[in-house]
Amino acid sequence: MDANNVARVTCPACACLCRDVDLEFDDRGDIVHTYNACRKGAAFFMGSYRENRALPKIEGKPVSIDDAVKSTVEILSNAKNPVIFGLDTSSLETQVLGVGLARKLNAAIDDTSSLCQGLVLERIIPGSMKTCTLDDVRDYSDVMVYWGSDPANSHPRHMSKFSYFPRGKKRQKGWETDRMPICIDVRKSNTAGVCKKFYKIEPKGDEGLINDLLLSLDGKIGGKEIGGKGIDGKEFAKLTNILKKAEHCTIFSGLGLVYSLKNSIKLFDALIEKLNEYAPTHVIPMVGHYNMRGMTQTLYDASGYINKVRFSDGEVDHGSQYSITSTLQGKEADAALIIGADPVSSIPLKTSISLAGIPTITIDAHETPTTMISRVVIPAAITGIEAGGEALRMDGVKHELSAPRENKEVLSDAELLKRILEGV
Amino acid sequence: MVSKFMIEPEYDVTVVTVRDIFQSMYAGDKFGADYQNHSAVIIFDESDMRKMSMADGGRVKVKSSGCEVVLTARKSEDAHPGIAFMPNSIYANALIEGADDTGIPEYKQIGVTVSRTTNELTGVRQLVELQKNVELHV
Amino acid sequence: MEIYQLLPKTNCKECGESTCMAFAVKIISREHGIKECTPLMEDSKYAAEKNKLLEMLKPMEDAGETGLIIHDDKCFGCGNCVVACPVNVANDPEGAAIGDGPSNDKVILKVVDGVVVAQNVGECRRFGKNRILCNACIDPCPSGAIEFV
Repeated sequence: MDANNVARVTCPACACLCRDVDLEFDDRGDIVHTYNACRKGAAFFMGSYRENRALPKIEGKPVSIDDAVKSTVEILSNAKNPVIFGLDTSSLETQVLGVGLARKLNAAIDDTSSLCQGLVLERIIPGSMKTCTLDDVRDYSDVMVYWGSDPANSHPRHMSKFSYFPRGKKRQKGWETDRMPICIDVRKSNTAGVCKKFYKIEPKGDEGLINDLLLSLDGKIGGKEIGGKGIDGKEFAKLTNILKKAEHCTIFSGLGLVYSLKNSIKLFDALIEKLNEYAPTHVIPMVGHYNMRGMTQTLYDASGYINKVRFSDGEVDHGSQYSITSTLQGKEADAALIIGADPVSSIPLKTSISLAGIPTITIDAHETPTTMISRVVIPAAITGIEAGGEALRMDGVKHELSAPRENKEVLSDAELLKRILEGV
Repeated sequence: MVSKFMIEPEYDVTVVTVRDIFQSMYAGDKFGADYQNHSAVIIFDESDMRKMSMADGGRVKVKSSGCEVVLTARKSEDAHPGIAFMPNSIYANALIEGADDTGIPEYKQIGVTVSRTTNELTGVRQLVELQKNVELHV
Repeated sequence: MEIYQLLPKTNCKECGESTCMAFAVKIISREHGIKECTPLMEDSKYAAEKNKLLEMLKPMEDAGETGLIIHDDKCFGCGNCVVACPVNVANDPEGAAIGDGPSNDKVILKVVDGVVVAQNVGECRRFGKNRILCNACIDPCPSGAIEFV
């Protein structure tokens, strides 16, 4: 490793935002090696800026960036019911501009959180559910529960940097004796394989498990086979006991839990409240995109809601009718601006494909299935490599992003949004 | 020997979407072969595979009420009869019906029927084009 | 025992051990290499056994002195092993021990280009005279990418 060609950066490949990644450059400025980054981070830094870059297009034909921006301004200015979606892979600064644009356009605005961790984030951000930072987890947590989450695949360094293996202030003796990681999932995931306890439940079995835990914490059931969920009564009693006696417990809620509970999320509120009668218990949502936490916070600060918002002449309306899936299913939108998101890949195709029937503008660094069906495509710099800014880690801690590589051929999404805002 | 005129038997399974690091590391190029090969995958319980006479690495047609895709069948290291896993991608989303009133689609319980096939894997581009034509000609 | 079965079993002592059995045991403990059995290497009547043994012991040779093998293709680059390894912890209390990337070059395991690589393997607790059967890098691995042979 030649120290002259090395830069320390923040990794935006997931919402762990690791700040100890070193990149090594060759003489042409290409990233040739990564140090400390996981497989996902290494692929992001060494691959993403080289391949499959988006080009400015209108109706599939190459145009200049200026023309693409001009067309965007026209479409958005003429729309009565525009929708803005995405911004989870943009900096906080860009997110503020995106929310400002929604306000100016009287648009509906939503992000991936509405079909991801939104249900948990709308408890965490206003403060109604107890949470802590990942640094607290490293320093204090003796019990950590990966519930419907699989960080080994989704947030590879989560366990090594924060939640299981590192030494911390009150966790000096090491992972063998200091920590009790528990996995609750419908399958023996890679994460389950390294946890000391694994509870395999049936799909949609989370609600039943929470109900049983609520009873068992109060001493109302225990010792016998817990019906139907495949958890042995003795093991279940141990789980209750571990949670009750924890010095500092953190539950990492995954999509498995969120999707399984949906409208029954209030049961989870009750469980966290009940657990806190016995032991300090915190929840950190396993946010996927690196700045989804930032987007939900930004929109909350601007509107009082974390997602699914409609601005109308300064007023704010909120509800599931403004989720991206509902908006597109109802075919109410007459124009769409997608920023750094790929709904055609990430929401049901039968719903997302209606973007092909309305003027859709996509700002993205890469060609995606969404750019394929967009009327206007505007290429953007890759935030974290070609553009900087700030982002919120999954636990809400703010970190500076890096821009170690210049790309004069594209503008950052912040610059693009500024130009669109000036035009509309 | 199965006659080529014989219709392949169909089986019902429930698909649960999961995360896969090898798939997500290729997400920068969703039209690339690596991403498609890691996304167009369905992971079955071993006993289910025996029942359906499917081979690890063989191709399967996966159908829901909305769409039909051809994927690679993989054998799971875990036991979960009746349940199959797919990495979250456009393929899983092609099979999911819309969302309920919460706005959250059923990513964790997709009812599908599967049968063996000799057809080629469905490409990402092909999948989008097909749906787009339907949408534009409604 | 499999190794012993394939040796000439003549107890010729050319390797310095008094019996072929003793020689086989020390191959496993890496105190002898198979090539030190000159009759096996040179006498054509043992050719079949020689080839079998060379093939059987190849992973051990690839793995180097401690027997550590990292399967790049399976590794997630999560760094669990980097942080869990007691030698890494002792040699890098300000880096690997607290979950960060290694801050010095005295560590055994570090992650380069998204996969874990080994260095300074002489420091591994499985190496040397006072070796112990440490599993601190294997147990935390979520993908079965690390093994000792």
